[in-house]
Amino acid sequence: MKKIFALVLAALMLLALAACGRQDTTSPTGQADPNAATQATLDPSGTAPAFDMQTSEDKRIVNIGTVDKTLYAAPILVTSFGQSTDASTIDTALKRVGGTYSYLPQVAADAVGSYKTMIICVGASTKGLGQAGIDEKDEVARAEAIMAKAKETGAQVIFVHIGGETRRGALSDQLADLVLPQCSYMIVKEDANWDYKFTKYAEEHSLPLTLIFGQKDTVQVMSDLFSK
Amino acid sequence: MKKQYSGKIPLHILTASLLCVFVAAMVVILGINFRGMQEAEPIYPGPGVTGKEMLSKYCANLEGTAGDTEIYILDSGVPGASMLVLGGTHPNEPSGVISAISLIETVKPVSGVLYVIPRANNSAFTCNDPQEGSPQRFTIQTAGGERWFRFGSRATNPIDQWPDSEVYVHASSGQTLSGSEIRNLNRAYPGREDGTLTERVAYGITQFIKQHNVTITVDLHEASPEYTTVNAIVAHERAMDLATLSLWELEDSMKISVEASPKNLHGLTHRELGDYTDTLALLMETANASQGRLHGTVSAEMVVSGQDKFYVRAAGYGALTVDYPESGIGMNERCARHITALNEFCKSYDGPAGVIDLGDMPTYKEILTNGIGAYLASPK
Repeated sequence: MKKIFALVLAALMLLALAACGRQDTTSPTGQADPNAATQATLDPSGTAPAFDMQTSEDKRIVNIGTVDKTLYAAPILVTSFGQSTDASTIDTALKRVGGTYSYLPQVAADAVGSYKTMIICVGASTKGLGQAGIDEKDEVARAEAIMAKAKETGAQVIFVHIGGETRRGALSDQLADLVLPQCSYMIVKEDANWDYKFTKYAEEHSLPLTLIFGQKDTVQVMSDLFSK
Repeated sequence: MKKQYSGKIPLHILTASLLCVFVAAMVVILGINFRGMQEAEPIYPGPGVTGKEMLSKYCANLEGTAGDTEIYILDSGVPGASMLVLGGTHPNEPSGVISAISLIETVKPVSGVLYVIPRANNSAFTCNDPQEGSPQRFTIQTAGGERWFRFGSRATNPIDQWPDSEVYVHASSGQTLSGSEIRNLNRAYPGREDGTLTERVAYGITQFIKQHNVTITVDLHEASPEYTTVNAIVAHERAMDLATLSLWELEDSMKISVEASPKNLHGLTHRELGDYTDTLALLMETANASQGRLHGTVSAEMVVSGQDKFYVRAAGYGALTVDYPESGIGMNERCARHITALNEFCKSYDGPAGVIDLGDMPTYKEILTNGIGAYLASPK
């Protein structure tokens, strides 16, 4: 009996040796997630379904409807709803085009009264919100206040969603739904339109819509819009 | 009736002695195995390498320690901009290490200077993360045969830096993190000359960038497929234009996004190197199943193939932030992302430091087709 007991203890000791060092890991990726609550949740319905793209590598820009360029007068504001880098992309594109505009991704509602045109880039990013030190609730409140101000001043709003499929999500859609009712023109990277949300909206509200294949196509779109 | 043991040595003494011998043998075997991790994989400098320095030149307190590491210099001889590539900040994220080694062994810049530190946290290559069951090495087939590479830990070996504090207080910001992060190089920047070993490594790299006025710094990483910042370029605000212009050229080949470096997350390369030096600080993340929490066995094969049936199932539930095919996300694709992006950063840079041209570089498709082994030297 003693021998069996000793062997069991020895086996337990070896198991303990093999298991030493167990610890709860924090982020396995080397990156802290400032907003883990927005990570993807289990969805038995799977990922975005395949859909018919109108754009391609060969046909990078598709215009649906006609844009009235005369609506978009200076001064022009470029801002972000969701703090993704998509507004920065428009900033880079406009620099290439040589446009005159103000790039203020975190601008407050009380500072937008003088702008006649607002280019609002919608796309939520946990890293971007972290970078700006803004939480989701505050960002939604800022967006609501800016849209109220735009309504009050009659500023023209251009809706921009160029983050693609990966930038669709609950917060991005919530912010998009704030902007769409007041916009007069939509620019969308087409893979974000996998559920036809944007083409349906444009059709139902008779809004001009430009679908782009990649973010670099924003240079051409901005050039077409603002070049004299 | 009780049986009596008739030998000269009492039975309980004999049993205990045998157990002690067995345990001692196990300790010796495991100790030799653990010490074996200190052998570094061979790196074969290619035609573009013009010099090599040790990081201790930039932080004397690293001399003779496990934190000292090699800096490879690939100077074209033509004045221009410079780029520093960091592989092995986390040695359990191997595509960064392999990409860095590939640069050392195959690139010959035409203008500007390329600096490569393939084993940024050298100490972390000498151990594995506890309880992960990770391999100690993995292999890649090259034109001239199979080569082995080290699979290490996310953090500095506790043999070299111990003990961890309960709470890690980042020196320059006062940010607090869990104690184990005190050994994470990518939470230690800009570092301290007289700090912990990890802080001294970070300090050496920061000083290197300052002294050489490095134009662009890119830190190569991998992340779990369920993580939100993956298949991404994380950019300091001064590097945002460069990241955006590069993305425009990359986006037709691969799904990739640009993310802003959070100002309130300290110690990371893309934040602190951008704040404390003039370099344009970027960090790249590819998707690697061995980094995540949903994987099965992390074998040497899995590290290279990126195949994991549990991640395929998770993808079916929409739980991942990247596409995860049954064929996995292999080393070829992960290295192709890193190497193509590094080349694109150089091509897109149009700042005052001049031109940096890495010369004849493989395309994304070529690396996928030929395999990363085609862009590594044969074993000697």
